[in-house]
Amino acid sequence: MTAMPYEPAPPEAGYPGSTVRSIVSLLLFVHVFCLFVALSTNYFLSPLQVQLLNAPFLAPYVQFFKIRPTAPYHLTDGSELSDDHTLEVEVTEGPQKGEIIRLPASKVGASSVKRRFALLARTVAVTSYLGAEQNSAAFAKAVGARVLADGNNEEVIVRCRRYRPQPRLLDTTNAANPADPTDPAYLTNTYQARVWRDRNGQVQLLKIEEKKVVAPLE
Amino acid sequence: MINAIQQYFARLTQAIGEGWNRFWFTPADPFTVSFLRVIAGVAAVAFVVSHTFGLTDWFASGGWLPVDTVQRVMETEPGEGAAYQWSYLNYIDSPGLLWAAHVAGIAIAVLFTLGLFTRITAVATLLVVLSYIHRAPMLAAQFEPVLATMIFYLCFTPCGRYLSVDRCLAMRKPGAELTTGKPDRSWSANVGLRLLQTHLSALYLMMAITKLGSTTWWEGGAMWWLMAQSQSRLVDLTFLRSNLFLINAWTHGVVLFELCFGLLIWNRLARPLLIGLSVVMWTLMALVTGLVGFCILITAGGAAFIPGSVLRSWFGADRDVDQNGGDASRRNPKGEAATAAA
Repeated sequence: MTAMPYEPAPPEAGYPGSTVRSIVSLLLFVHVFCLFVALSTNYFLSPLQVQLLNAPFLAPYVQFFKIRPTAPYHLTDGSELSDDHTLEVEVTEGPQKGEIIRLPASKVGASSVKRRFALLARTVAVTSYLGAEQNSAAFAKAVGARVLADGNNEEVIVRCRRYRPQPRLLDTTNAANPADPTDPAYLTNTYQARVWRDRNGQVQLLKIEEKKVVAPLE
Repeated sequence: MINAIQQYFARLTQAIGEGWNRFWFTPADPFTVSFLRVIAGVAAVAFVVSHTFGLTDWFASGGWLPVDTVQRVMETEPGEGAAYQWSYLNYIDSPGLLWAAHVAGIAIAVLFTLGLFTRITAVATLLVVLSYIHRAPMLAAQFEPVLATMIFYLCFTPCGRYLSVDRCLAMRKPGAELTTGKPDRSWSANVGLRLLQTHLSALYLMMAITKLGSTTWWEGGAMWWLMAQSQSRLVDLTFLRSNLFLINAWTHGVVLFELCFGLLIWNRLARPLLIGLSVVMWTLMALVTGLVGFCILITAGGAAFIPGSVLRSWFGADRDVDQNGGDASRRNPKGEAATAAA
């Protein structure tokens, strides 16, 4: 094994001074490490990654500057978590009784407002799917309170509904899969709750459980 | 033998050190970061302006997302509020103040786009954008983190050097003509560009790896599930339902492209092809997913890999370079190595 003599390259013109270079290099090294931890995954996390992402030296940096993206960058995983969702509020008591308000109710600034409501609906759905019902309830309560206040209503039902995507092989003879993808047959309830104002003026929420079909024992 | 090993490690560490310095600190033409400033600025203006519709409905007291609801949902420890999600909008709930803060936010983003007091407005724009994101993190999707990190990196660069009001003002100063003959290369422009390039490359790899963690991308059906989302898509492409192989090829093509971009964008020969393909891929993706802002921004982010000299020729700004080939990338004995993006 013959070692080749090493000749260091001449320093490039225009580099910053060695002290500045050392300090910047250290900061860059820390940043690249944070970038690697934050962007090595977006979906599945190992316990080590969870620990690192919550570490006191790393969490403030990657979370405040949004270096760690939390949105689903895989765009779809084929599950209900990736489907389109919508929010609607049915007024059950009050001046607007019987009215169903689909959010966004206004067409002003349609695309950006629609996008935000779609994201809010998906958040309610995802927290519900993942079992974080207290978070779904917090959002549903805020939405319900707003509709109660807007129309001077007494009670509403807030629903988060999922647009089930059409199957690729479409059998239109099957009533469950109509040709129109916006047909109500494709809508399913993901989360629904009754929201009302109590005697003290406080907004209350009670989740409505879907009726389950139970087969008879005999 | 020991001597040879010692020499090997001495050479290795020296080569790594030199490579590191060359990669991060070789001065670069700030034209590319200036161009990226305009892109990030336009995106920031569009992002902040998009909150105009229903601003008070969302953020004022009694809105769709009250501060306490967001804080409670985002908190890591009960009663402590959301960690590292600071936003000045958390302290404003009256409609009047909210509108004043909103107009100020738009003005700051516009000044950044125009390149006026760029060093200050870059940092201020970053704070404005982050404040809107952190006020309601559940309303942030794929677009927002890309925008925030882009502005964050530009804060460290002289991104107001070209295509800016700052430059026009500097040109008016006496003696300015003497310094306009050749581009002022800057190592901080290179650091910002390298950070943007590294981040973009890592983002592409992350997107590809995450997709590979999902069965639907392996099985080739993912593009169908995106097309079948009746509310978010821009164009209905479900007529492709009978072309199973096309859907499969598109799905696999997306993953392959993202992997290739993340790895091969560092290859000078593959770079123009990958940047060209990214325009096609993200245009189609925008039509299918409706994620227009994200698709535009990530495509435009590819400009971080385009050398300043090329961008200058596109904008007819090469007259800034002296007539004897004053662009330092051409005078450098190492040729293209001096260009930050090369």
